[in-house]
Amino acid sequence: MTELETPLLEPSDVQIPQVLPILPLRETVVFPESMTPLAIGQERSIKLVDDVVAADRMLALLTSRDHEKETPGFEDLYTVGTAAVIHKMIRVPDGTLRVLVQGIRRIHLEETLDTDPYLLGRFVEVPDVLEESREVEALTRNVQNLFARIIGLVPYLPEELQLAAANVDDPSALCHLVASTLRIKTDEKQRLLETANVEERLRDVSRILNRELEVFELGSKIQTQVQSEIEKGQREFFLRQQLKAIQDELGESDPERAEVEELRERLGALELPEDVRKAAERELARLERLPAAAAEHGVIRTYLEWILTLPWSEATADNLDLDHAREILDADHYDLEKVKERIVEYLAVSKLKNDLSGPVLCFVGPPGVGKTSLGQSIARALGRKFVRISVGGVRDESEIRGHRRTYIGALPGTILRALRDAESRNPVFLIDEIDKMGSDFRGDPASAMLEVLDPEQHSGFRDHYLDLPFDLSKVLFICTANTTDTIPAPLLDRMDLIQLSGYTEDEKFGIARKYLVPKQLREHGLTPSRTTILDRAVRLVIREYTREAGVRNLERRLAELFRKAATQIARGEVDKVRIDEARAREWLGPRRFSGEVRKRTTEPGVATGLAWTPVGGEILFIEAGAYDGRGRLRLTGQLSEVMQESAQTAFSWVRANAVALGLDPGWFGAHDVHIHVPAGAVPKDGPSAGVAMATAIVSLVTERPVAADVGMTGEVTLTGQVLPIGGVREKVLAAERAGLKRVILPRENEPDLEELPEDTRKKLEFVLADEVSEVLEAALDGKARARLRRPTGIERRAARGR
Amino acid sequence: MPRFAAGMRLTHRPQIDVFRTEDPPALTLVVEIPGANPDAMTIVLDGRRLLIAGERERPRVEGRWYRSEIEYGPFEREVSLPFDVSVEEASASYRRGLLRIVLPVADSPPAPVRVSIEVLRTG
Repeated sequence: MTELETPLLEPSDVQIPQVLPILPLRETVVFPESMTPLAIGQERSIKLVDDVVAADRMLALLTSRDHEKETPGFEDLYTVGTAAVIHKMIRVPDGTLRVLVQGIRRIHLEETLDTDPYLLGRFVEVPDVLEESREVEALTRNVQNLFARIIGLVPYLPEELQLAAANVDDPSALCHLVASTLRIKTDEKQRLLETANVEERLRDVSRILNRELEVFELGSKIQTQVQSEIEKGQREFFLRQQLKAIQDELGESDPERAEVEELRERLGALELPEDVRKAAERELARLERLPAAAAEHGVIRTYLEWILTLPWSEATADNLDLDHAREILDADHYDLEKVKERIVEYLAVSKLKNDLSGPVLCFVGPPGVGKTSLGQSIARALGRKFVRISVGGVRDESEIRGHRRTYIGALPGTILRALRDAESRNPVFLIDEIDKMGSDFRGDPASAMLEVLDPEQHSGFRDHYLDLPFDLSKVLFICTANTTDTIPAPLLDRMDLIQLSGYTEDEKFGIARKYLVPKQLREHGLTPSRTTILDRAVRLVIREYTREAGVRNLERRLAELFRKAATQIARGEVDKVRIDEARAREWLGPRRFSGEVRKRTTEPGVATGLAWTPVGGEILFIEAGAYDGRGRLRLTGQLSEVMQESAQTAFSWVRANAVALGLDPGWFGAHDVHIHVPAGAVPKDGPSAGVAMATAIVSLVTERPVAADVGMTGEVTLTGQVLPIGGVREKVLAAERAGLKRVILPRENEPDLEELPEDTRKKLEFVLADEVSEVLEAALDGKARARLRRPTGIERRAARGR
Repeated sequence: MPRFAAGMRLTHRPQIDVFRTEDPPALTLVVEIPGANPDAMTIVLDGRRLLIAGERERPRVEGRWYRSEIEYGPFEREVSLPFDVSVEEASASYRRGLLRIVLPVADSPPAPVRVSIEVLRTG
């Protein structure tokens, strides 16, 4: 049973009086044919309703333009409104009224009549203007459709409105229905009410509906989005809670958070440069967002650990007391007068400047002379921390400066790693073996070192891994090298070179007595009272069991002796050990170095040269041999081009001066000469063996052996001049070590003799030569043995047979 | 929230019961409309549609109102019937504020004309 769609009766015609009391409305518009509940609280409005209810219940509803105004007058009201009937009325206990009004028809205020006790006016009806047309029909349907869709979207509109709207086919009524149910602005509603033309009103309504629909759809879209985001967040939260529960079960309760908190705390406690702190905090925030399982997590963690452990602000106070420094240097090192002086000078300057960032010190010298331990002494003297890295064999730039963080297992370079270990930003930083740094396709570590060592650049040293500037300007860099030849020039340019040369026998003895013996006794758990070593035994070890510029092997041999002593004492075989020469010989076995020179030079054609090497001076044997030939020269022994030329020069000089030297001029036409320099596997360079070669050739031809106790060095020219050479001190020390008695030197090297230790100068006889003839005179001293005929090699016999 | 009645006129809608009884088969409508004048009521049958209209006059009151809930004025209801009824033996009565209309069930559709039913005044 349903309601009929169309009424059988005509609508009842209600007469509207011309004069009506006016009830002002705030923020609402009542449309004809609509039921609207109103709350009435104002005194004059209550009076109005009282009067109207008691009479014909008709009144005019006019909307106020200004909803703020408490008691609007005529001037505040729109002039078009609705005539209405009060349908129901209830007086609530607080004295205000609730009324249900029913709009009847649109009216227009023609004349204002009274304002007391309430507004009173004279009205005329404003009928709809409607021409039935297809357009109106289409508009009507459109409005119905739009409205139906809006009802579906908007929560505040009840579903029943769908039916109501579908049942209204009067276009004007439809407009009023829509306008009264939508929450649109009051002035918009008022405009709809005032529009008498129905077609126009339909257009307005559909425009408004379209706009509202758009807004609602957008709103619902946003709503959906928010909803789905919330759901996603909830899902994540839920899963995290589960994960946490699982972790709790496994006893790994939330280590991540604790970890991040710990890092944050440590970060807060540190004194960091501003940009470093910013970077660290940024990384920390990233860490927090990442799950522990993410690969990135570990990377960031490690990075933060690095930032936390680097000494950004930790520093030690410098002790610039020069006397104190000198005391420590003296206590740690024997002699090395000039070097110590140089170091103290350096500290003095730094003290005056109040800044230790001067040129970088570089100790150059053979191994085992104490370069590294000097660095340690300086650190001790200054009261600074000491770190040491070795860059020998480093070929990769990233060794110095680290790898970028994008690489797996990336770490900072060796510089920052060492600083972390130092736990101070101003340590003494020893860079060992800087002359042995390589370079290849992986980059040039020397260039990276440049940045580290350059005082202009290193205040903002940027490691690839850290990618933050680190101030190296407070670090005191010291480099060590065996030779300056292989140090790249730009690097060398930034260093202040301090030469340390090899030690003489007496110096070695002093070092052994003062440092090595006590040290080795200590290391072997021996006491001086139970174990003693005689001076003669120490000298024996130096002379017969070591041959070196430094004291490294000496220390090893001494350790060997003390090991054996310790064994005896530990076994309980003896109570006290006294090491004399015989004991040393017994324990160290056959002598390692001895009259090698004597043995080698007993035959003619062998001369003893003196050579300089990065590891100290060496003696060098030049061997000359001859066989049938046509005066050609053959050279072997890995000689460099310079050395080969120097050999040819010596050979040519001897040939050219054969007569003057008393040689058989025809000899050279019948023989080829072969010069060999052992050891054959070691490359040799330099012109300083010239005189030794000339001597060897002359010795060969004359069959006079070179004196066994003479060593020689000097460059030879085609005219027989002897030119000066370098490394005199090392060469002389080598001669001394080898047990030579006389050393032939170019005269121009005479000043270098001043550099030699006193006892060495006393021990050796020096022959200063201007010309090769003087060398020959000294070397082939014409002792009887030289004339002695001995059974010799095939070549010589063959030569003699001619 | 404004209420809105489609094609609103100044009328009100009384509540209605509709039921069928057998022996003899008949359809009964009861309209709840006390205080109305039965003489001014109109009942019209048009095929399967039945219209009921009348008026409950608002009493004149000189004084102040505190509540006004009862709806006065003209009323009307249109009801569509579930089956054909015969108008010849239809009857209507008004008693104790209830209007009762009895319509015997018809075997064939009635003539498509409008027929008025007189209201019997009882009690």
